[in-house]
Amino acid sequence: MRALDLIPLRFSPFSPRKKKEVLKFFSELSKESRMMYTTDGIDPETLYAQFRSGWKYHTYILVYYGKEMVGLVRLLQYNKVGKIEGIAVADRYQGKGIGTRIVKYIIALAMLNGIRVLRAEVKKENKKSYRLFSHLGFKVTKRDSLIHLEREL
Amino acid sequence: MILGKDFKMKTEYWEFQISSGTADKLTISIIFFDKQIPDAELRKLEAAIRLLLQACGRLVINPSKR
Repeated sequence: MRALDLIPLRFSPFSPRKKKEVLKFFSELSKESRMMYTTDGIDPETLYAQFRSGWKYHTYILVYYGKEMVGLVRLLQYNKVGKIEGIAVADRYQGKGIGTRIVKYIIALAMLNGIRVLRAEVKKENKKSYRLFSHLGFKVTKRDSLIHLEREL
Repeated sequence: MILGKDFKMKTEYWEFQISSGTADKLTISIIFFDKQIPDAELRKLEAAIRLLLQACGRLVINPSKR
C-alpha cells in the first residue's frame, strides 16, 4: 500500500440515497469507536439517525479510498461560525492520518465559504480526537463534560 | 454552501466549486466576482487550496521525514 498521506481520498457529499453504505460503515466500526461517536446509543441505526439529522441544512461528507468508505464528517454553519461534528474513521484506517486529512478538508471548505471561526467538541476520554484538533491549531475554550475547541480561520 | 453532486462555496469575492469525480481526478473551478480581493482573503484562498490538496493526497508535507 502507498504511504497513507499519498493515497488519493475522495470527498463526496452525503445524501440519504447512501444510507445503506453509511449503515455498513457504522456497523463495521468497533464498539469503542461507536462509543466515542455518540452518547445516544451505539447501534448502527441510531448512529445513522444522528448523523443524518439536519443534512439538508449543512454539509455532510463521506470519505472514500477507492470504493471503500473510510470516514465521514459534518460541517454545520451558522453565519460566519462553523462547527465540525460527527467525525469518524474506519478502525483499520485509524492512526494513519486520515482524520487529520478529513479535518483539513473541512477547514478548507470553511475558509472557502467565508467561515471565520471553526469549533469542535470532543469527549474528554477521546484523546485521539483531542490530539488531532490540537495538532491542527484548535485551542481549548471550555472544559465541562466535553472539551470545546476553536480555531480562527 | 451548496451541495448536490458537487461542493460549491461562495464568498463576496469568489465562487469555488469542487466537482465530484474519480479518485484520480480532482476538478475545481473558481469564479472571481467583479470586486478587488484583499490580500488577507487571497492568502486564505491559497491556504484553502493547499489544505484541499493535502487532504486529497496531492500534496505532502515533509516527504523526506517519512
